[in-house]
Formats: sequence, structure tokens, C-alpha cells
Amino acid sequence: MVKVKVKAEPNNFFTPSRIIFYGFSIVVFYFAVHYIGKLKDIEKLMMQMDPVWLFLAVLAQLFTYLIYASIIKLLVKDKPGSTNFFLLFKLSIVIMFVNQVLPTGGISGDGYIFNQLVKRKVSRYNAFTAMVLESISYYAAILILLLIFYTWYLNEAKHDTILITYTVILGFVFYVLLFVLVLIISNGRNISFAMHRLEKFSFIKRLIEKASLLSLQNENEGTFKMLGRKKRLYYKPLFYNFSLL
Amino acid sequence: MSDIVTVWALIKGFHVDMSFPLVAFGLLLSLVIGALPISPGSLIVYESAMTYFFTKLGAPVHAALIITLLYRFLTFWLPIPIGLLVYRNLQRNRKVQVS
Repeated sequence: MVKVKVKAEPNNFFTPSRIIFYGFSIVVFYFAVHYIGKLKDIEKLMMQMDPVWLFLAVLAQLFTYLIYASIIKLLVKDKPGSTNFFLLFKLSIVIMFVNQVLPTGGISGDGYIFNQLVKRKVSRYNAFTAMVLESISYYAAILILLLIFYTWYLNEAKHDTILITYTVILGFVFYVLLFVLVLIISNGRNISFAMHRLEKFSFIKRLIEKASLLSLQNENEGTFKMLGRKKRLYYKPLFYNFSLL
Repeated sequence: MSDIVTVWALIKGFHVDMSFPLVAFGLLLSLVIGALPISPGSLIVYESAMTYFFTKLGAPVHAALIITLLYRFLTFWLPIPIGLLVYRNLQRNRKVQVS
């Protein structure tokens, strides 16, 4: 007979993370109330919508989570730890929400999923590599689609607006910068340099130690080398990200 | 293509005449603005940008606004309660596994 040992937990309703969680919930609730107010105003227009198209829209959204879970499953399939597709599907819902709330080009959600994968016995190296590949394939997919559709727009559009051009340029600069940033931080030597710099701050040092991120500086071989060895690792996530957008 | 199909289905649902590439381009432009860390969840910024771009690309203003609000409902507001529930569920399962 297996004995299950249940730890008696202290009353920790007011830990910093919980206070942030409560504060965030209040802010979300406040905005949600305002948002629902807006929806009521447009209720009559909503009723005009064909339910078949609404169903298709909801179904397409469901597919975004399924595709994201497939990307992560694909990237950690060699050593999946204790993950399964349903767990990755649930994680994809949470990280889509994290990415929406903290818009940092996907970096905030990647940090969350990295922690979750590591907690579920996926090796730090595999989880980190998966996050790097997922990020760069997402940025590459956005850049390629932006280029294709902007070229199409320039050929087809009757008149261009300067703001659209500026937004396209901004998009290219922003996503190229993120792409380069992720490639830089994926290199073992750069991780080592950044860790030692950040260790000066005691709060960040504790976080680094807690997440055992220092091991990454030794394990990580860098994205360029890795892609050189496993080119197929990149093409599939890129294709999946095209489907996601 | 899932996100683009979502907006395209909403546009078709409101009988707005916009081609698929135009919808895709409008959404990509909105994504660019939405990705910038301006406000939490890009609130107001995303809605304004999406309504502006879809209006500029040929949708009537009232249709662009309602499509934006519905799209944001499906992609932002709806996943919040579901995401919070799933988050708590993942935390609870993790604690059970640890103990």
C-alpha cells in the first residue's frame, strides 16, 4: 500500500505572488465590466451575425491552442518528461493569456512555459531550446507574412496611407530586433555573461538560483550550431506558426 | 491561419466585403501594434489600431468596431477566465504531484 504524505502548508494568502495575482484579478475584473458594457451596446448588431460564421470563428480560435500545443509537443518530443498533449493544450491556453496580458512579443509566455516544462521533468536544455525555436519560428512567420501581404497590398491597393507603411516598417524593426535578441540570448556564453551581470541584484540572483538557470550556460550550445545540426527542427515549427497566425 | 480565419469569419458574418489577403494584412498590422508593450494587454491601443486599420482597408467604421470587439472578446477576454481556471488547475495538480 502506498502512503501519500501530505504536507501541512502554512497560511500563505498574502505572499507577494498572491498579492500580485489578486491585484491583477481586480484590474481585469474592472476592465471586463467596462468591456461587457460596450458589448451590451452592440448587442443588436451581434444578433445580425450569421451563427455559422460565429461558430467558425470560435472553432478557428480553438485551433490556435491546438496548434500551439502541437508546436511544443513537436519541440520536446525527444525527451518529453511528464508532459502530454492535454497538459500542453492547457498550458497553451494559459500562455496565450499571459502573452496577451504582458505584451512582450511572446517572451512573457515563453518564460512561464519554460518553468512549467522544467517542473514537469523536461530538461532545462530541452525546454530552453524549445522556447528559442518556438520564438524564432513565430517571429520568422510574422516577418514572412508581413512581407507577403504588404507586397500584395502595394500591388492591389488603390491608395496607400503613410501610417500603414510606418506600421509595416515598425513591425519589421520590432520583430527583427526580437529575433536577433532571442538568437543572442540562446548562446551559452551570452547566457553566462548576462547571469553574472544580473547576479549583482540579490532579488534576481535568488530567482536565477531558484530556477537553476545557471546550468543553461554550460548545457546550451547556441541556436546557430543547433540549427546547423537539426535543420528539420526549424521548418516544422515555422509551418505550424504560419497555421497559428 | 487560425487567427486570420477567426477575423475573416467575423467579417463574413457581418456581410462585409473584404478579401482574405486584405483581412490578413489588417490583422498583421494590428498584431504589430498589439505586440508593443504600451499598456497591459494592449487595451485600448489594440482596439483602436484594429478598428483604424480595418476602416482604412475598406470596412465600414461600425463593422470594423464590432468585429474588433468580438475578435478581442474571443482572443483576449474569453481566455482570461478560462486561463485563470486552467492556471489554478495546473498549480493544484502540481502540488498533488509534489506531495
